[in-house]
Amino acid sequence: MRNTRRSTRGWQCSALALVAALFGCATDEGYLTLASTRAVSLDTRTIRELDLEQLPVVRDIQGSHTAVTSVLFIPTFAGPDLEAAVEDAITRGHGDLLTRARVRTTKWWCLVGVETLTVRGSVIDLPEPN
Amino acid sequence: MRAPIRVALAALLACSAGCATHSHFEALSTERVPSLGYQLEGARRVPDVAAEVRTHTIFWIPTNTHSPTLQDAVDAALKRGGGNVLVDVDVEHWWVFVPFLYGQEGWRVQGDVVRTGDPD
Repeated sequence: MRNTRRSTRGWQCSALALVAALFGCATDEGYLTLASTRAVSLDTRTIRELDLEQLPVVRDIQGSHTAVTSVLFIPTFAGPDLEAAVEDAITRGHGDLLTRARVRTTKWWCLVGVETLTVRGSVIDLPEPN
Repeated sequence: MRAPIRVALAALLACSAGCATHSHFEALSTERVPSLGYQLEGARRVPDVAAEVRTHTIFWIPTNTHSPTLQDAVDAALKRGGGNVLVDVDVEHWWVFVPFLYGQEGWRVQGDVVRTGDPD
């Protein structure tokens, strides 16, 4: 009887310790109307011949980049890269340019600290220059 | 110095952390502008405009009720340069944390601010 109580208490303490060690938060880093990591032409003069209405747009594309920020409370001095997250979204959308993008940071800790930068928006595919 | 204090200080230093990441973008904007078709040629261009937003936390008390965001930094740079698009932009995000004592987090953007007109 006494052993069963001890065992139950042990599990309860372990569960409590695990919950105490598990934290997380998400931060909205804002809204970008335009983000481009690639050397694309935005000038009216060079894209004058394009039919903007006909350009392929892939909506609601998400890109992310994750870094492990600590291991057993020892910092790794690493962080997620915004450029990599935007590039991931552009690659997933098979395009050149990210527009109307919401940027978010998510952090959580459970013995290991992990941070993720996420961008979600529309990707526009520009035709190859002549 | 007493041993427990030395141990506590060593533990604080061991758990202190900081990180800075750098990114480069060809173009960034937070303003309502067309995705394509800027009148860049002949547009007013202010080079090397930098803006920085940061918050400090001292003894768990933040100095700002609003955490600094990337959008705040881009907005500040566009306002400073009087334009609506940032081109050739460097973005830096950093944070520093000393447990129980001090924390700092911020965004910094630097680039050329262009005031574009509507497309033809």
